[in-house]
Amino acid sequence: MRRDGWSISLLFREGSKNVLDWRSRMAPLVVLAVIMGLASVVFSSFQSASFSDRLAEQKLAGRNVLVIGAADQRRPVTIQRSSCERLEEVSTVERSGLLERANTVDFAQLGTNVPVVEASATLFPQLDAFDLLIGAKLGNQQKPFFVRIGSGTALAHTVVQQPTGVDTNSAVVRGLAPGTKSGSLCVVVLSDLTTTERNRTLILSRLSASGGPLSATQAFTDTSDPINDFKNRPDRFLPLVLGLLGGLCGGILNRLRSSEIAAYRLSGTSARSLFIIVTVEQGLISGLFAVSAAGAALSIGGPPSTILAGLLWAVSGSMIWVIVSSLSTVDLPLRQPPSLAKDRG
Amino acid sequence: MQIDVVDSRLSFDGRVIFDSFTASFPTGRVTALVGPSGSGKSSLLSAMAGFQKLDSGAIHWSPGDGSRTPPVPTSVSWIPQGSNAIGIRTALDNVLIGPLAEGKSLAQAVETSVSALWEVGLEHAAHRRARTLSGGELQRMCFARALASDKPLIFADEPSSSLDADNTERLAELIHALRARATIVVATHDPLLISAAEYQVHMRSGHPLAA
Repeated sequence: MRRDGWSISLLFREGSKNVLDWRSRMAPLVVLAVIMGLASVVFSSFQSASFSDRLAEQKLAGRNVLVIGAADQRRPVTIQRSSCERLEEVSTVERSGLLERANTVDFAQLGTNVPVVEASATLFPQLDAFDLLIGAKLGNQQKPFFVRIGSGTALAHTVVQQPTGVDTNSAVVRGLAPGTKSGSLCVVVLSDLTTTERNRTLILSRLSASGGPLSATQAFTDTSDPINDFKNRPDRFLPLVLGLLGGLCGGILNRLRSSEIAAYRLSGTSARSLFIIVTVEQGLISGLFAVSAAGAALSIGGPPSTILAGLLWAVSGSMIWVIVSSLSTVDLPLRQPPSLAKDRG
Repeated sequence: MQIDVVDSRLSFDGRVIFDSFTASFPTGRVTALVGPSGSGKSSLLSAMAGFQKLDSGAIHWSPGDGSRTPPVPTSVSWIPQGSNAIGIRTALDNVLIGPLAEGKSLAQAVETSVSALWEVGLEHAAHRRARTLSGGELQRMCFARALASDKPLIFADEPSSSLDADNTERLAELIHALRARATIVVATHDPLLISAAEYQVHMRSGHPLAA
């Protein structure tokens, strides 16, 4: 391909001056790029928020709680406390521990015959700081407070609502006695982004138990896996689709300005230099798409992983934009300039 | 730079545009390439610029040192029918394209372009957007771009096709004034432009004739 005298910096200057003017033919595309960038992130954030809400709702319903106990009530089991508490070491386990029904107690502040359960501090880490944990349905005091028990007092704290399976919302929780070595019920709360199906076998294999066979039950089972649904949703490709559409619009717009493109070619600009100018123009516009998407992602906020995912999708969409617009324009610089001039675009 | 067209033939889709065509375009002169519409003026101009390949025959450029080269498109400034301009950019920006493509620095290109705009009488419009210029002004801007690029060849393809009589007359004066600046070939059937040229080449007969 024949070369000309354009320097790269002046080609970049030329491309940017063609784009960065609100009266240029590219202006509608610039506006479209900004709108599409914002739209892609707002839509993704909306999807992420819906997913988070669904997960939170199902979490409370007990989607990720495994309650491990005797499979046959006539054949009780004894689960080693240490093996249950050590399940925390499994990367997908959020917390685990023994949970044992103790008795009922009368509390001046909470009422009479309040059920009291004993739990491992690994299941309720707040037990390291407080004597008693008050179920969410028994109180709404935000700050720690003292509870009178018999002639003494205990430092208590109200805990947030627990998922089904960790049935302590209407009870008072106290720590297991240090000497307790075993129990009949091991409760495992898995992290949000996993499922009980994927972990059941591993968890059962790690427990040391004697007596009858063990079973792991869960209070809630969804008909579909929300994580898989989210991962495989078709609209996750929206930024790429928008990038594709933007690139096609860019290609069409370039064809509508073939007369301008001819002005370069007929003045000694080589096809190579012209291709660079056109690519710079589309690169700037697709860059605005990425910047507006990134700005929206940062301003909407959310977990770092969601923001990062939004940024990556935006950059991918932007790259698709440049590639598609360049490919759909590549023939223009190669056409005979006199015939290009007659297009009158 | 003299241009020699030797025994050339060009056809499109089986239709012969010209055949056995021979002509010379003298160095540093304004030559009118004359013929009726559809006679192949634009196609010959395109072939002389190196944009179009011939079926047979040859086109040589002779810089005057005894050597001969085939056409090199980037060495030609082309002024099209109507005018091709980047509407949103100023007249100066549009003229700058020529010298920048030649490899001049931005400062040098601005200096050359301002001078070229002055030469075509458009110095007052240097900072106006091209889309606000009249047809005649746009055509003169294209000539300024050709002058500023300092190429040895300026080809104008029916430059008066969209101009009124007054603007065509001004263009004829401009072309006349530019003689000796480059080898200028104007494809036209406009009597005013033909009369402004020093030589004529007729598509039917070839060969230059003194105007």
